[in-house]
Amino acid sequence: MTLAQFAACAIFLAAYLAIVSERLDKTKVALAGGSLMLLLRLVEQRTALHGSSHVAGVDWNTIFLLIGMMIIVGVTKHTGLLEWIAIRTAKAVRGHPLGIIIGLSAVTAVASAFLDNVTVVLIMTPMMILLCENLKMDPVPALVAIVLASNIGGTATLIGDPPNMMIGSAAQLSFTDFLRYDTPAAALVLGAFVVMLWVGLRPRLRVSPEARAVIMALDEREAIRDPVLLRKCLLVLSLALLGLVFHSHLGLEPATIALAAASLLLLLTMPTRAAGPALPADFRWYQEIEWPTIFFFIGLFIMVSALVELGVIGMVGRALVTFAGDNFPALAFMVLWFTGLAVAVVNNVALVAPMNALILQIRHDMLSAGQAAIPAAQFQALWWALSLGACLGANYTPVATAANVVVTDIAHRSGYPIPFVRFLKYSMPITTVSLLVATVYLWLVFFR
Amino acid sequence: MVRDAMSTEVVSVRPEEPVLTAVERLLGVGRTCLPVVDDEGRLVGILSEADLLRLALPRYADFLEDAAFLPPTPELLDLARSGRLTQVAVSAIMHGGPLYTVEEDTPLVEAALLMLRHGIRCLPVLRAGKLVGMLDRQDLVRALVRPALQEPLSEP
Repeated sequence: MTLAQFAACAIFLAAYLAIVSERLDKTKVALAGGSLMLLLRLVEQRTALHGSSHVAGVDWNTIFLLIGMMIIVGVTKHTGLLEWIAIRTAKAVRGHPLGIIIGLSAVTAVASAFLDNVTVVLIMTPMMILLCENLKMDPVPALVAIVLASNIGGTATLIGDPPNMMIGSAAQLSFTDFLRYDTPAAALVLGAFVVMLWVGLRPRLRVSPEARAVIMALDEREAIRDPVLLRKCLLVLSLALLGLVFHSHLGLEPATIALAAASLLLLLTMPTRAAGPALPADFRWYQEIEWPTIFFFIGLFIMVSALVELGVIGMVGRALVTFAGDNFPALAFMVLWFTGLAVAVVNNVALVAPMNALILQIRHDMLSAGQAAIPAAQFQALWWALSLGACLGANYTPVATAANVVVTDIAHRSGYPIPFVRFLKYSMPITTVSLLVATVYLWLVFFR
Repeated sequence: MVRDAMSTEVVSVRPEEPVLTAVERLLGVGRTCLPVVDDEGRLVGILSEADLLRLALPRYADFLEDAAFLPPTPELLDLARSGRLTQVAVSAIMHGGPLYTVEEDTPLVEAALLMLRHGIRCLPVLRAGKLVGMLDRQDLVRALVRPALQEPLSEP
């Protein structure tokens, strides 16, 4: 190992430790790590920012896909759409407690498949507490269900979860590829999750008819704050989805679709006259972009560029391939379970950045070594293993992703602290079953 | 200067007293907030009307963007019957973090700017760390119009 390789590894591992310890903000750590690698010229800035023949560099496709979706979601969240759906769902199940938990979990999952998970849970968490308080039942199991459903739903599409955006971009997998391979997996996991909720919670939920009557008295029409804005948001969201479904046919990157949709929405919402008092002024919508997240990605991409440029990723990749031998399925399941368990402690974005580079390296090595034994279609299994592991594994602990932290924080500040161990009591069995379902799914689809 | 506009007859509350006591004093003096002072006369927090309103609402309401769809249940604002007024201590709901304060020789302009910029309704006036007065928006408005009036306004 050269001195440069050693320095890059040391910086990267130190950054990882700092991120895991949560003593320092992860964005600051990633930016500092990336800057240090550039300062020491472990990777040239041009290579890190623009990529080269063998280094991906900062993945601007992921960055602008994130920014576009953040703008669209940032505007949509003010319309009251999710609140409306939540109340409609609670009334559709006639205020039945288990129906509400399962129904709102399903709503959270579907919404998280298309919108940012944090935004979805920011709205669903207080709604769930409101419903539970009025039903006079303990909101904690219901809130854990919201977290789990959000991460399961986020697994389903290219835009559901940041790891999927990164994987889609690195592997050149389209929105429809995700619909074909990740959506069925997420649907199966969601099914298993609902069964576990049903079995686990049904004997414990009893509420009075009076309490259910309170739920039936909620007026969902009051939730829609600005019907005009809502129609514009729904139009733009539908156009964005349509564009994403056809992006590979049109030869357009997902980021282009998201940016175009975001600009359309910003143009459509230009006059703020019609906006209600609760709506932010025009310029505020750019503030809906979560800059710390964006810079976290940039810092990570720079650090990973250095690792790739110096051949560190290549070494790990070759070691892994040697370790797995000719057993390609074993390699895929290793990726799934390693990722699934690792994201319990490491932020999944921080893990997927180097894992992407690693899998690209493995693909390069296998092709150059003439190992044609593995067809391209089967090689895809590695990407789906990474995606399923990174998204589903995020359910293991209350701190694994931002959405988990947001729910536990709102719960705490609303008077319902969720102790770490109590979260694990629900999350461990459900997440382990999720990863088992993913294992069987990958085996059935790719290796049978 | 703050000295000329502040009210020196300060009614305060201690952190361990129940909220009910604080509400009675607040309404008694007709102000929008009360300083919370410990046994040694040190300022430890501010209790404002907003803190009392927040106590009356369900805690999740802070995280809702809008509450128009909430059910019209009577207990929603039924602070008095919930027993919370006597059970909850002032320290549990007061604003205790870093507080904006002024000194007696702080210019009134600075005090007014502080209030506007940070949405503060009243400022504790300190001398060597001890609370010596309170300055609220009404005090400032009174100081503002005083020169325009023929007769001096009486202090409340």
